[in-house]
Amino acid sequence: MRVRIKYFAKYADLAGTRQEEFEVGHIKIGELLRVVKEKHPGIRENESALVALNGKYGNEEQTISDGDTVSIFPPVSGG
Amino acid sequence: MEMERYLSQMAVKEIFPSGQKIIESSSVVVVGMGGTGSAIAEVMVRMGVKKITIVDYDTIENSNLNRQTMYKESDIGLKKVDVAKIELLKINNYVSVESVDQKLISSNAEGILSKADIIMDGTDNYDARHVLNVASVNLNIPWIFSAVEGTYGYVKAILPGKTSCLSCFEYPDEGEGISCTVQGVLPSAVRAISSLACSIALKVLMDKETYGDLIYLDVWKPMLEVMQIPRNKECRVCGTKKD
Ligand SMILES: [Zn+2]
Repeated sequence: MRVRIKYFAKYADLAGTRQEEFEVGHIKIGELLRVVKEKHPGIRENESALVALNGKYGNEEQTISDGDTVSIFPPVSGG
Repeated sequence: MEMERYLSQMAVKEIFPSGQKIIESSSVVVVGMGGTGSAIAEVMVRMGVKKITIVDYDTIENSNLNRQTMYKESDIGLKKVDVAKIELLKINNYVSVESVDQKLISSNAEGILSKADIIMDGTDNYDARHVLNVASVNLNIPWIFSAVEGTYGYVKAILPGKTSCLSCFEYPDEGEGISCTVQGVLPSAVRAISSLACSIALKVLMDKETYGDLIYLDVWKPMLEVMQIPRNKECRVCGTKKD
């Protein structure tokens, strides 16, 4: 099945694209993130990214379905 | 004369007819008087807020002047809260401006914030926002989270008991984060995020903001995205795992 990943902020620069599609099985968001980070090592393993599944905040335990959109945002601290 | 000043904003249908009264009777606390905080304080006072408390322990540096429009070259070396108070009173001399020259920490937070109708986030690190979040939940006072770096940032309304708080999702709750000087921040992004924070604050004060979505705004691409963040029942700050 296919899922769309949308990269926000610096993650778009690190991935070199604002969005791309991945062909994966019925995996959880946490596993999908590992696949993403393997492809784009700039998106660091230890950084707590904010992840949305179809526009709603998601956690690593949620399972994704065909056609889902997963958005990844970095934490931001400045002010 | 007072009325004349606010006519153009009162004519906005989202504000008309009761919004202006609500703005003028609200007490606002702004924590952090850097780029976002000083811009928020200025907008609030220009819109008619009559009671404002500003909190910061920093002094003005040359490197602040590209984006912190409250301050001028002649202010370098002076305390931000002292200069900001003078500048805010120049905008409206009938405003009560309380300046607090302290770092907000867990032991003083509730005392400083307790009289607020709304708390505005002008901080620049994870530690301070965690202190704000805990105090807001304990005091049951809403706060507006805002953060910015590079060309983008976030704004989110946090209404204790109604919306998710900052700890309901994986926003880091400790550390300094990366400073604006290292990470870089576009002055126009600072203005955009602080403006958005003021709009969301108005909606909260007028009881028109109940969702507390996380709003992401990038002024360069440009791009705006809204993420729903439901409450986390097991949240360590506002849920069952509260210490
Ligand atoms: Zn919470």
